[in-house]
Amino acid sequence: MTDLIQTGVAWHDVQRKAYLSRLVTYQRGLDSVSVGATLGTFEEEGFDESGSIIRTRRIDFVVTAADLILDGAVVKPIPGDRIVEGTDTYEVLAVAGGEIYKIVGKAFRIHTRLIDE
Amino acid sequence: MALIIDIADAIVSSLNDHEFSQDLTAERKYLPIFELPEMAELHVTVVAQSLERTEITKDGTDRADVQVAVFVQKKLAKIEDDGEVDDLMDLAQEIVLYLEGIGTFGGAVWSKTEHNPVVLPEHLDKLRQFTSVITLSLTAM
Repeated sequence: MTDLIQTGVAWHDVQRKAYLSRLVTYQRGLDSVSVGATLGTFEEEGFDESGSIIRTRRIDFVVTAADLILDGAVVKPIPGDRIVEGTDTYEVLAVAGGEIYKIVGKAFRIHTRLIDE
Repeated sequence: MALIIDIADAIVSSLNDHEFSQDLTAERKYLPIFELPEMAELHVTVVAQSLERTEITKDGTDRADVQVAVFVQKKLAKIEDDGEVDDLMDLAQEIVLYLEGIGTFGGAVWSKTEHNPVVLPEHLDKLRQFTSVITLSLTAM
């Protein structure tokens, strides 16, 4: 019997990539790949420990897991990876609890913060 | 100008007159607020923090105990490279030793240094940013 949920997840990922994504460059060191990404949660954050406030813009990028190919291999996001979207550069950084990304269907929802604009 | 601002400004001038292992330009701020993209460059920020006056003689002579913080901050450029953190730690220590060596700022005499946190864990973990806070205690008579 057909697994309708599995089929639906795959269909959803295809539709997301086709109609709700933009091309970004995913970088790790000197390796990079162009992938279609959907911009997810947008949030302004402030870190105000020890009297110093650092403001950041946090954005989640949703990327099909199988598209994240660096140096010939499918990889998972790690802290320090970068995503370039237009003139803005985002860095993969952990959110509260230490999570770098979460798996959503067939995609990674990758947590990043703006580091260059 | 307020005594504590004179002291903070004297610390800024001393820092900017010295050649450290890394180029730096210190500035005084009332609150060190930065956007993360700004932190690609080294920031050394001097912040006046507290002043406490104590009468030490019956004729009204008093003593001012002042605390001034020096923030050393930079977003780490490299991935998983403790060497960059080590270099910034060296710089923070250089600043401590240099300021203690001078000892007098705006008429106030250094009495104690608290280097805490040497590296702020939350900034390092969540932002991959080095933040070190040096708090100088000084006394003016």
